Amino acid sequence: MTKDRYLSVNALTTYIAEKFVKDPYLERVFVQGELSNAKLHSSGHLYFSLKDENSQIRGIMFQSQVEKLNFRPKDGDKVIVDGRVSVYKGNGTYSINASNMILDGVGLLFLQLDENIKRLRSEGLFNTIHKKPIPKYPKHIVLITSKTSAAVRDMITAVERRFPLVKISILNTLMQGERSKKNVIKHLRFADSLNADTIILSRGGGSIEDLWTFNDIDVARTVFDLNTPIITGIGHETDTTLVDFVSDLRATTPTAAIEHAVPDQFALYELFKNYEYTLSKHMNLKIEYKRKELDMLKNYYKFRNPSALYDQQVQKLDQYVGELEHSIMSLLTDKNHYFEIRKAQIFKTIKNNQIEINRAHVLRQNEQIKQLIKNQKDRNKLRLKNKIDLLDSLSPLLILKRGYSYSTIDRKVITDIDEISLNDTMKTKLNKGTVWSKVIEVEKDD
Amino acid sequence: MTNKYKSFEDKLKRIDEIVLKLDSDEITLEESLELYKEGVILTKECDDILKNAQLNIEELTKDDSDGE
Repeated sequence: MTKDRYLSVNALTTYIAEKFVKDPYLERVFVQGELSNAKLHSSGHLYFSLKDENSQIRGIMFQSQVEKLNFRPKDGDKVIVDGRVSVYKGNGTYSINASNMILDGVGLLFLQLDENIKRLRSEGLFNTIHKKPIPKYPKHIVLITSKTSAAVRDMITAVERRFPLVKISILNTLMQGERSKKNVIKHLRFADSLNADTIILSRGGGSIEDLWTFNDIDVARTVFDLNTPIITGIGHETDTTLVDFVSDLRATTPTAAIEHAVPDQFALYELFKNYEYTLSKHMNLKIEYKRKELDMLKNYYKFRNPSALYDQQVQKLDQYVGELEHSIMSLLTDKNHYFEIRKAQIFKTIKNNQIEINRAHVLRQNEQIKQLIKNQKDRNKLRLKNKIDLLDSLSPLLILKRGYSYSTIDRKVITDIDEISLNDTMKTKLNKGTVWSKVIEVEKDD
Repeated sequence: MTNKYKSFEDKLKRIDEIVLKLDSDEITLEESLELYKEGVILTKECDDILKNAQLNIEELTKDDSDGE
C-alpha cells in the first residue's frame, strides 16, 4: 500500500457528509419513535435521541423550531419527527435535524384531550350555572351503557339495593371503538326524548384509546345540550374524560353514578320513622300549647268575674258624660261672653253712626228750609210784581187812554142799551175829562 | 285527601310541607289534626311503596347494530 492511498479523516468525513446531502431520501424524512435523552439546552436548542426496540438515532431541534411546539417533549413521548439527516463532521456523527415534532399515539390523544378541555372551557360549557340538579326521587332512569358490561351489572345491583322503586331503561350502546361516537350521540338524543328523570352515561375503566369516545368534542356537546339531567361515570376514579366536565354530575364509577342518582331506601326508612316522630312531636306540642291556651282563657279574670267586663266601661261612660257636660258648659259660657262683647260693640257702632247721620240730616234740612224760604220770598215778590202789572193793565184809565169811554146814569155804569131811556142825563167819562149829555135817541142794534 | 299525591316523590314533598305547616302557629287545632293524620298516612304509604317495590328494567334497543 502506497501512502497516497490513505485519506485524511476530514476527507472521508466530508465525503460521507456529501453522500448524505446528495441522497434525496435523506433530504426530508419522517421518523416515528420514542424520545430519550431529551435535553433542552440553555441556548434553547433541543437535543434528543429517537429510538425504537432495535435502534436509535440522535436528533437536534433548533430553538426557533422548539418554540413552535405545542408540547414539552420528554423522555418516553411517542413522537413523529419531520427533518433531514446530516453529518456533524466535528465528531463524525450523523443525526436528524428536526424541523417539526408532533406527539403520536397516546401522547397525541392526551394533547387533544387537553385542547378539547381548553376549548369547551373557554366557551363556558363547564360553568356551574349550566349544571341541572339531579332529581332526588327519580321515577325513571335511562342507562346508556353496554348491556353486557360489568358496569351495567354493577349499576343494576346498586339500584336494586338502594331504590327498587325506580324504572330503569337500558340503551345498549357501543361504548368504544370506531362506531361508538355515532351510537353514543344517537342514544343520548333518544334518551333525552324519553322524558326520564335522569340519564346515566357509564362504562368501566380502560385505556385512553378505549375511553376516547368520551373525550370527543361532538359527544361532549351532545351531553351539554341535553334537557334531561345527566350523570357520567366513565372508567375508574383516576380517569377523567371530556364528558365529565360538561355533564351535570361526574361520578367516579358506574356504582357511584347510581349512588348519586337514587336515594338509599334504608336511609328513607329512617326518614319515615323520623317523619312519624316529628309529626307526633309537633302534634303533641300543638295540643299541649292549645291546652295551655284554653287553661289561660278559663282562668282569665273576666270570665271568673264577669262584672269586670263592664265595670270599666261604666266608669268610662260616667267619665265621658262628665267631660261632655263640662265641655258643653264651657262652650256656652264662651259663646255667651262673646255674644255680650259683640252686642256692646254693635250698639256702640250703631249709636255713633246714627248721630252722625242725624246731624248731617239736620244740617241738610236746615239748608233746604233756608232755600225754601228764600224761594218762597222770591216767588211772592214776583207774584206781587205781576199782580201790580196786571192791575195796571186793567186800570180803566188806561182803556180810556186808548179811546174807550164809559157812561153812567145816576152813578150806575151802563152796560146794556135797555138801561138807557130818552132824555136821560148821562155822564160819560173819557180820557182827560168828563162829558155830560142828554139822550136824544135810543137805537137798539138788531 | 292523600290520594292527591300519587307519586312517591309527591308524597314525600307533601310530608315535608305538612311538617313545616305543623310547626307554624297559624293553623287551628282541627287543621293540625287533619294534617297530622294525612302525614301519618302518607308516611305509611311511602313505606309500603318502597317495601313492595320491584325493580322494573327494560331494554329499549332492539339490536346491537344501532351504531349507525
